[in-house]
Amino acid sequence: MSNPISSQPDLNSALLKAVDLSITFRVPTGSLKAVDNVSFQVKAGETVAIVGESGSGKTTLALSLMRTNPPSSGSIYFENQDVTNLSEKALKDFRKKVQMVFQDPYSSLDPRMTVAKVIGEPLRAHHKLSKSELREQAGKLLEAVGLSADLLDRRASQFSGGQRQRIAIARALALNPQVLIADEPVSALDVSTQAQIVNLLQRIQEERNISYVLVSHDLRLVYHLATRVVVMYLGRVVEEGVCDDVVSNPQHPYTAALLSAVPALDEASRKERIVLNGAPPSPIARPTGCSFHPRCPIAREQCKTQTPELQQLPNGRNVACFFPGELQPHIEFSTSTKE
Amino acid sequence: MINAVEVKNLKVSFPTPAGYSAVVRGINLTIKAGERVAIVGESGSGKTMLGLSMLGIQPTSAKVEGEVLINGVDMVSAPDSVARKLRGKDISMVFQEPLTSLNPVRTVSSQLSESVTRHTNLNKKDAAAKVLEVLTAVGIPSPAERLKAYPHQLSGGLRQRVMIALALINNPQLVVADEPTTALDATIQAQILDLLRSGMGDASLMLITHDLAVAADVCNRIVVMYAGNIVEQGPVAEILSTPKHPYTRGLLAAIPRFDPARPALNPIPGSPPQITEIVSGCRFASRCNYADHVCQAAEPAFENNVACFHPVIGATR
Repeated sequence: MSNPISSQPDLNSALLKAVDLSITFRVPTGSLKAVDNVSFQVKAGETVAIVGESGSGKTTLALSLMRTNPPSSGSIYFENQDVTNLSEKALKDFRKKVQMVFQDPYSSLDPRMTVAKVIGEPLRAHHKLSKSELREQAGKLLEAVGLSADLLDRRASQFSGGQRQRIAIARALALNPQVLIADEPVSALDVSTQAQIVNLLQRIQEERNISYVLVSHDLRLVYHLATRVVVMYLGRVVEEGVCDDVVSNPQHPYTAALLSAVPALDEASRKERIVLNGAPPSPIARPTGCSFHPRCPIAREQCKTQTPELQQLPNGRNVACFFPGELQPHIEFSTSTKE
Repeated sequence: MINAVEVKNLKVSFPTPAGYSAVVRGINLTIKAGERVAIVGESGSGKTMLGLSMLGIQPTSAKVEGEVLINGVDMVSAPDSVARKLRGKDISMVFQEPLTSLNPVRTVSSQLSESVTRHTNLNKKDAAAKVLEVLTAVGIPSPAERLKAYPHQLSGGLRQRVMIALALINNPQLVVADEPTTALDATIQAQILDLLRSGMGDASLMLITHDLAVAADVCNRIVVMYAGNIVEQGPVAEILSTPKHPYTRGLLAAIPRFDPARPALNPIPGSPPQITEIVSGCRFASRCNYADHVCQAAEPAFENNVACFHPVIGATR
């Protein structure tokens, strides 16, 4: 292990970037560090997935990239411009560039609004358009997500979950963003509908060269969509790297356990499953040393007292573990044959 | 071999402005002693209503017809006083969200011992011993310390273990578990799947899930439901490798895999019919690549483990 990562990773290529970001919430018993000194970047056209369990800080990190909650320390850059402390007024431009799709299209769309209004809202807020121009734009967006422009006057409540998520995506695309943050975009949908939305997201990315920040607990989906993966545990990044490499050769034991926990379609994965004990501890009562050590199958004495820093391995992977690569899951890789 | 449950021609319907609409449309299902059967389907397939009506705890507006035979008692026609004696004893249920299905103002031990004393003649002391025994069996660490805990003081995983303990405490012959791991995190889900697969004692399991991988992970047999009907069933390995129904094939093709080639997913077009929608012929026909005039004209019968006029032969992919 060598080269502690500098906190100024390659400034020029990142579109959206967080450097040494921490987000603290006040709670009755003190403070809760939901995101603890995290650096993160997305380049143009790539998909970076943030994975982790509840309480890992993945959603807080994703939201803070949009500047929805102020960081307690660290900075956020968009196209090398520091947006950490921009005023609400100055943020208006930034918000055009970074948009969001939420998990549950039943709560993220006003059921009584017509589709034209839902999709037109960001356009009205940011552009001076006539009524007919707004309608035309909204219709085009609806067609871009695979729905007919004839549906503009229907209300959101009249659509199925998959159709609603398409509408939510159309709304997010209305201002031509460069980054789309998608927090569990398909986990509220049925299996057959999930695949429709996944394919739609891929097509949109190809057409528009848009970057995705994908927050997901579904590692098969992450593998399918992401270029790079960031694995979080208790507010910290424990592993980060190219998606193919992280999945085929995880370095952190938590990554290995997450991969191993994916419900298996084959027997071998099930038999050799790494099952962790207990549940993630509360970020208010963070364990000493490595936060993961109470649940780690390979923890040693050192892990109880010393905190491993995120370090770059010779293969380019970043990992925060004293014994990287030691624990390997059995993963069922499929090989597709062209039909 | 003794059957844990026999479901015969079970139909569950709800009143709509246009009359009663069936969400479970005549299900026949036998679960043998010790078997773990997954009921897989999407929302609206009727899988949850099937489970609820087997225990007789469907919404009051529902009309239930057919038979659910447990220990020679038909849960559908039995008076409530009789059904209540079977519920929690011979058949029990694990729900998705233990925080809402456990009583928030009563301790773990009081909820568990109530179920014991209600269904058996055990005295308080023996009931307490039984509670400790079952909490240990479902893998709750230092169970004696959890007895006085309230559900909100436990983590999601521990709560679900308490819920499973509650389901198992009277040694039922069948546990119906409805999406028991959907609300849980990945590493906790893995723990509970292990418990459901190998920690259920002699109880048979009916696992209701939308996730084929979860079904394959836990069960011996998979039953696929679509729009109120069973469309296919078979041993896990057969359903995964050589599914016959186009819908089962579609579900499998829609799941992303760890496949380095990242082949495009094949979604099933459209969405399932609404409860009020009148469909003639096969209810999957409008979404099916194999459908023809035969499928529009009549509803296929369930024969040779599949309900399809054009069952697909051969392996997937």
